[in-house]
Amino acid sequence: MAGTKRPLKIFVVEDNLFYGELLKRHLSLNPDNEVYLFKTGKECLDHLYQKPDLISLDYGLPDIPGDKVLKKIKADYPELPVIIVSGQEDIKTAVSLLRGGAYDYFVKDDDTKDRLWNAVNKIRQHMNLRDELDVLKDEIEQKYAFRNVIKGSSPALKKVFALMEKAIHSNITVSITGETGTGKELVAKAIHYNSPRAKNPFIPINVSAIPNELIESELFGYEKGAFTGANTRKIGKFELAEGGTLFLDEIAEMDVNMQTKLLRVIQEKELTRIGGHEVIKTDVRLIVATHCNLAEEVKKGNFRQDLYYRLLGLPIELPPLRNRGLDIILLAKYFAEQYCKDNGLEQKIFTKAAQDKLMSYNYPGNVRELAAIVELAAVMSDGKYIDESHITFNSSGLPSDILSEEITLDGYNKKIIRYFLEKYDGNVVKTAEKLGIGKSTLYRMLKTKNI
Amino acid sequence: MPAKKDKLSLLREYLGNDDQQIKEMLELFLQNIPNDLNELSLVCKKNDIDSIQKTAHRLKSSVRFFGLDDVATLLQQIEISSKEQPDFEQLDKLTKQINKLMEQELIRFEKMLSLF
Repeated sequence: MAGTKRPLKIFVVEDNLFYGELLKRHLSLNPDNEVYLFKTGKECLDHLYQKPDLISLDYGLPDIPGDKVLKKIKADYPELPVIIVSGQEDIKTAVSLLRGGAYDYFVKDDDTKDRLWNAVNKIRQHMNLRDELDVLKDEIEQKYAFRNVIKGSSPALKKVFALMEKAIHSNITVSITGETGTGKELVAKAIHYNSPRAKNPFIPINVSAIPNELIESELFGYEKGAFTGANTRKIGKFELAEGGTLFLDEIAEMDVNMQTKLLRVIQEKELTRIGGHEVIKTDVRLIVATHCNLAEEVKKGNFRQDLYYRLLGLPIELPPLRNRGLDIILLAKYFAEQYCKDNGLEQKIFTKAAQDKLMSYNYPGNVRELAAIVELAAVMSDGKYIDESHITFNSSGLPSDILSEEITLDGYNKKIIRYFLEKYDGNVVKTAEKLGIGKSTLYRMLKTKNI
Repeated sequence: MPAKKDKLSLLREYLGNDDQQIKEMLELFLQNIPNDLNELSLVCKKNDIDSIQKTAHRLKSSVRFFGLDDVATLLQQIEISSKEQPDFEQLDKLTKQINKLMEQELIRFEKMLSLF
């Protein structure tokens, strides 16, 4: 639709046959306008079912006064722009008509032609933008039709589909758990774009990616002058997601103080921007995700129990890829097909040996890792077939069969450190924390063990 | 090309200088204007103030497009007079004056039409 603009349907309502015909012909000079002429208010009202995009309405009609015609149009089609074209310049009438919802008020004079032409062009631009927005929204909805997002037919995945259906048809908070790379954000998006909130925003925020001291302003926003550097007002993610869905990824990483503030907003359904006094009502659906076991975090005292119960809602656990059986092959074929299509390559076929090799791996990086493996295989294969030799597994992943390789303790250490460093994007502090060692110890190991 | 091009300049602006469209609009004008003038005379005789005002207003919108400023001014006078305290004798006089002027103008426009 973005490339093929529809014509702008214009109703000209004018009892002066000559003037009406002239306006009709003038506006028709633009072939993208589809202009219809009506001589009375009744004729116009009787044809509103044809859904015009704009009405040019003569104020002094013989049958129904212009203000009454306007009122009737606005009652049924409040968004429809109506331009009043009047023979008399009457400020009081003009103000009253504009308050009654008229788009503009023109007096019939030498400028009418240009003013009308400009107004029509402005309305057309607005209509085109609105059409494009509708198309994009439809495309997104289609893209996130959840059977298109999450491919597979394993029993483990069928359970997920059933839970997603329930999430889509209710407003309940959803908590998604699963290993990294299992598609938690995709599931959250699919729930949002298939729910009644689909026309409103989906706002994702990764809690672990934002420093503790900034998370409050990210979520709730701040007023100008709230703190040094707050030069303008900032609208927080909660407000941006109004009417839609807020996706809080890696929720377990949230600081305990911030958890208290979040709990208050969820309970009260209202917030105040930092440095502000205005209480703002919120209507936001929450979807949270974590790769941790939140219940364990509660036991350890890292996560507030009351917030845990608030957020638990409908729990959806995404199975790791290694537990999804033949979904691995189904997904591999899908990724290969997509990659070849996107890069103008001939479609590839996995040999039996390649399929066996794919099934033998444990995929610590889950679907994301499989996609990378398949793309590399498609690049490495010169012909029509992807063979086992084209498939390379990423050795830096933490293999569950780590003990199958007989290496030294030092070798295991290196492997584990590399895995955690990659998982936390090279963040030494976080890696040290996760491994339960000091950061200086880790720095020393990185240096001495040549990692 | 018509001889009196200036009378049609506003029409040309509206119709993108398209001779065929100008011709059609001129035909429409010549076809409708005698009826409108008759109607004005009739409502004046009937002293129907509301209709006098409406018809004069409608006529004024049309004649302006053909550069008939004198006629438009007279129609404006009728419109204003009929809103205030109508002097029917005066309105009748103005109407007759308009008819006379239009009689000559219509002949000119008929000739103009034949040149297209």
